[in-house]
Amino acid sequence: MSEHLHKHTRQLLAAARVEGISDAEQAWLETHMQECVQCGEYASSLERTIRGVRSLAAPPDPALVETTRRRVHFRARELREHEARTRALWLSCALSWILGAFSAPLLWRGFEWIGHRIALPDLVWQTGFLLWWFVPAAVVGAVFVGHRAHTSSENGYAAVWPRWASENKREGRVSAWPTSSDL
Amino acid sequence: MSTAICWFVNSVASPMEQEAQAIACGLRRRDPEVLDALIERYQYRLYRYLACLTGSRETAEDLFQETWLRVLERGRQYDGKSRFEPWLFSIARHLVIDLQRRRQPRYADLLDGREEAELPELEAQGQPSALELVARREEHEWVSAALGRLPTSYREALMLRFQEDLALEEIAAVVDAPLSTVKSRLYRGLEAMRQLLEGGPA
Repeated sequence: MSEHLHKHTRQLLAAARVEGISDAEQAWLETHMQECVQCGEYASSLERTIRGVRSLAAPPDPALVETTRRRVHFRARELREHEARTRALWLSCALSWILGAFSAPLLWRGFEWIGHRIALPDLVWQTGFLLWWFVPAAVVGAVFVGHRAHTSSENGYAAVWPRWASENKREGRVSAWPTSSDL
Repeated sequence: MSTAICWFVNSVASPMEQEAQAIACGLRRRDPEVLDALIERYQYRLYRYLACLTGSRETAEDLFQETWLRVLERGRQYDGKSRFEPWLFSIARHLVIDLQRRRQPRYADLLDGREEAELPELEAQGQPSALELVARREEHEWVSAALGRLPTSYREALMLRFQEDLALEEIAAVVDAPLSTVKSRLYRGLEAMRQLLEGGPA
């Protein structure tokens, strides 16, 4: 048998395990394997290799799994609380906007009345009205931006590797995992 | 609302799709029970993958925790249209890459496959006899050592294909590489591994 034939057989043997081969190729392979000892040995060697890779095991420490669960629960609670706060913030913003929109005509008249009463130029009381309108929105916007900045810093390294873990490592404890007192 | 959508999707999907959708719904709700079940189910596979990729038990343990926290935080990005495993391994892999960037040059060639990292001591499960234990340990050590001598990219491809039983397309998605590259890594890795194991313990 030619070396080319053996090479083709080996390619098919590997392909059968990596990506699969057609029925015709499988049939050809079986026929060839019945009469070629050299390729048969190669097939066994390949099989042993794959079995070896499959047999490797690295079980995690049960304490690691338990600690991971606790951290995930703790973080899930934090995230739920954060979401609730964000929802409340959005709701109050929406309510504030609706109230502002409905009260705008009344407020305009109020500013106009005061402006005329104390003989202010129109531009002054109109500016006052605009400020009255925009200051709360600006404050809410500032709070929101500050809140976002705080949240994004929390979601960074500190979120996945919190304070107690760093402290535990720094203090040379056996584990960097949290204890019940940390949580 | 989301529960109703989940119920509707589950009622028209195949069992595998139903499972993926159930996981996606649970992750969207950040349901601790779903996360517990996922940790329980995938703990061995995820840890083994991380240990294989990093070559260090300690690092694998840190990344194991970080991966599940990331799953919790990014759970809404999982749409349930594909299997959960590739998504999970993809998250874990990205964390390894982040770590690689922070710890240069120790993991400098994790992705391009030049590294010959030390593989962690991989342990057997179960309670075999003393003789079996010795033989198995010897074989495991031999296989571990051989795997550890492979470039990381080959090692990763072999692990994902033959240990995690991922499809080639799923591996390509996890390692973010073309299908042809994945196949090439698998063929080369398999042949390199076979040659390394030739002459190993009987």
